[in-house]
Amino acid sequence: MAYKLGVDFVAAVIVGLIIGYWLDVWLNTAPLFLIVFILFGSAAGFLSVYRSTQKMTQAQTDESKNNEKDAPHA
Amino acid sequence: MHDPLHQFEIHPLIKIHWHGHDLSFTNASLFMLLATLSLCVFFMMGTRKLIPGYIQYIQETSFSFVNDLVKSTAGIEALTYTPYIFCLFLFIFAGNYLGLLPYSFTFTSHIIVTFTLAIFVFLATTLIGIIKHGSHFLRLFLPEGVPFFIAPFLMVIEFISYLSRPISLSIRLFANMVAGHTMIKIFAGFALVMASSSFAPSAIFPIIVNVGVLFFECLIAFLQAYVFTMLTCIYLNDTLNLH
Repeated sequence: MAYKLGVDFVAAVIVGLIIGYWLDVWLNTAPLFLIVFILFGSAAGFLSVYRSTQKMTQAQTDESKNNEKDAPHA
Repeated sequence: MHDPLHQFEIHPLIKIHWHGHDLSFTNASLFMLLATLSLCVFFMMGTRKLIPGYIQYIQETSFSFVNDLVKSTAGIEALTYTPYIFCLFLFIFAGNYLGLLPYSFTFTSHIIVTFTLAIFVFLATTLIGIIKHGSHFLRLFLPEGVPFFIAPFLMVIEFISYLSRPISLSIRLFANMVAGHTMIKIFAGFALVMASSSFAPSAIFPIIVNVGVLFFECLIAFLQAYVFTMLTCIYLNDTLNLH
């Protein structure tokens, strides 16, 4: 699942960029919202990467626990 | 001649112009049609027989593969949406594999195609969530127990993260397809250049690498169809079973 992380981060930044650019064009405030929303987009990217890694480590610990259970005790 | 991106060009095969809109039947449309038709033919071949043959076995295995994937990631309620997810999987799968044939066109290497598939998944999951949970659906953007003064920031961040789903879904499939096919073409170009050089037998090395890359592409073609399907199930799970 590692290949999921990079694209997730980039996609969130792109969405932030689009929203910021669109708000700037609408309200005529360039480049205020562009900068603010790129920062928000990066934060969203970090959030989704953090969540996926958490899920991955969760799955790994569950797996190792199951392996311990299955292994015969010495 | 060696342009590695030449294979992604769209040419109109039958020119159709209607009220100033270009609705031409292009090579992309042709391969979408081929993917759909080949799937239809394949799925009609094995069914309606008294004794199931190996084609029916492949069909049933592929269906239960997607069915189990939906059940294990999105829960038993999500099985209602299995037909759509199964079609999505087969369409991407057929497109990726048709693209590996020589002289063919990979329609999944165009972001507009993958984005259209992804935006339908996004709109569908959002609508399902709103219909099922009503206003409670907005809980997705604001987890419980968040301090009052961070809440607006967190809502914006969660909203952007939610909107980024169709984009990451479409970019992943499109980028993998473009990268793989460009790589194959570049190594083929190396082989051609080396064969015309003073030491022609050296062309065997890029050809060997290209065989490896092609095997890898066969894996990627399946893997990306699987990833698209699985992420659809994960998004469906997020909206069906709010935490």
